[in-house]
Amino acid sequence: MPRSCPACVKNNIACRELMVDSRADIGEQIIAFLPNMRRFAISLCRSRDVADDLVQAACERALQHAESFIPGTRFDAWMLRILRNLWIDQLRRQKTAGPQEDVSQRFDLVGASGERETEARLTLGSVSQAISALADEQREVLLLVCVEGLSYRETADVIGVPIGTVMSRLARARKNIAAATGINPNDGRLGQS
Amino acid sequence: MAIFSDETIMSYVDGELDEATSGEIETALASDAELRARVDLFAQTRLAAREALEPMLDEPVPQNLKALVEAMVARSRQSVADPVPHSATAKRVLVPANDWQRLAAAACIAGLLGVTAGYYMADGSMEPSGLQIAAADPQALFAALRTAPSGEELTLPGSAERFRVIASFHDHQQALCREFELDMADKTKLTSVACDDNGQWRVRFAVNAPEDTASYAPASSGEALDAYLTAIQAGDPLSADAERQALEKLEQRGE
Repeated sequence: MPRSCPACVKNNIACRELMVDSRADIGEQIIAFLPNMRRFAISLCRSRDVADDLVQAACERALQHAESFIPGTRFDAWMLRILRNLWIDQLRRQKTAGPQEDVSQRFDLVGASGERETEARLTLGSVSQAISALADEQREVLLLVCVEGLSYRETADVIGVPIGTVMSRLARARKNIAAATGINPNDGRLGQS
Repeated sequence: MAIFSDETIMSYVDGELDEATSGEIETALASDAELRARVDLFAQTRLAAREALEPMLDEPVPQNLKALVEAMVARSRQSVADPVPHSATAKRVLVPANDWQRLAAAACIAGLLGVTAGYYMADGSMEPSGLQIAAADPQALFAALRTAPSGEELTLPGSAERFRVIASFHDHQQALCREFELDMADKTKLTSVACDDNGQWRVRFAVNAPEDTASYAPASSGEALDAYLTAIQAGDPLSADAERQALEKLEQRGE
């Protein structure tokens, strides 16, 4: 009678093959996702240099832990969570080392490219300034939901807070932006919630 | 008139609201200008945020960052391509001592069919010191190995086992070898290599795996086979003509 492969060995092989697949795959996805990672990182750090270091560290971490990515789930949510966790770690370390960041260096997210001459561009610029002026916790949910297109659930998983918290932060973020940029100015009841 | 919270209206705009409540909002929208304005706020802010940050995606990724990440990805692929052989699985390779065991160490040998000592003799009898595939009738198998061209499937006489030769080739010692498959009665597939050893067929390699191609075992038994074929420096598969000539030569020598 043929002996069947013990489950442990089978699993071992299965795991390794899955890992080969997921790592090869993840490498490609990481490279393709770099612009999005930078955008999110810049909005977190508000410094392009710091953001690029953060992106690099996040890619390294993602490749080391490729097996923790569950196939069939959203790669972008997984990647952005890694990136954000690294940033939170850095913030904690900075706090214990004393404040280092020069607040005056915080600037509007689109950057000083000087290419926004037209009226329409100026309007968009003011939106990005309004986003930049949001509290960190509001800005990140706005980025994840409205810009990166994550669901509330996925965003809650990235940030590690209940879904209700995501929703209340997101609603406040959007009302703040509306107030700062004059979206929906004719509605007198905007301030209510 | 129903009072909807900001979160409810926002969920509606973001497509995250249940159908029943969405229906209520849609009904109310027809007659409620204030509700329309609130819906509008959440729709416009979503769009505005997206548009405002869209240009950041067009920003070229700094060359050094891109190069660093690409190098990381390449290194990671390399480390996966050369895994450390798994010692526990190495023990499962139950074929005569050969250095290919080392090569096949990472592969899962799903269970060699009772490989016992014995040659297939020219007359179909067995010599106790060679190798035998327990489930197959040696005589029928030997006859099939001697005559069946590659690519042809036949049923071994006296059994339900379907037999087909995948390819014939010469090993590094110029012995004629045949890779063949047997569909066993228990729905497993035996992949084997038998080589001519001075007029006797000797089973050099055998691996049995579930026939279900969706499982992982066939892929890893293929790995083991590849490792084995590499180790014996298997030549290219013979053409149909070359195969026929090689089998005829063997037959003449055996007579």
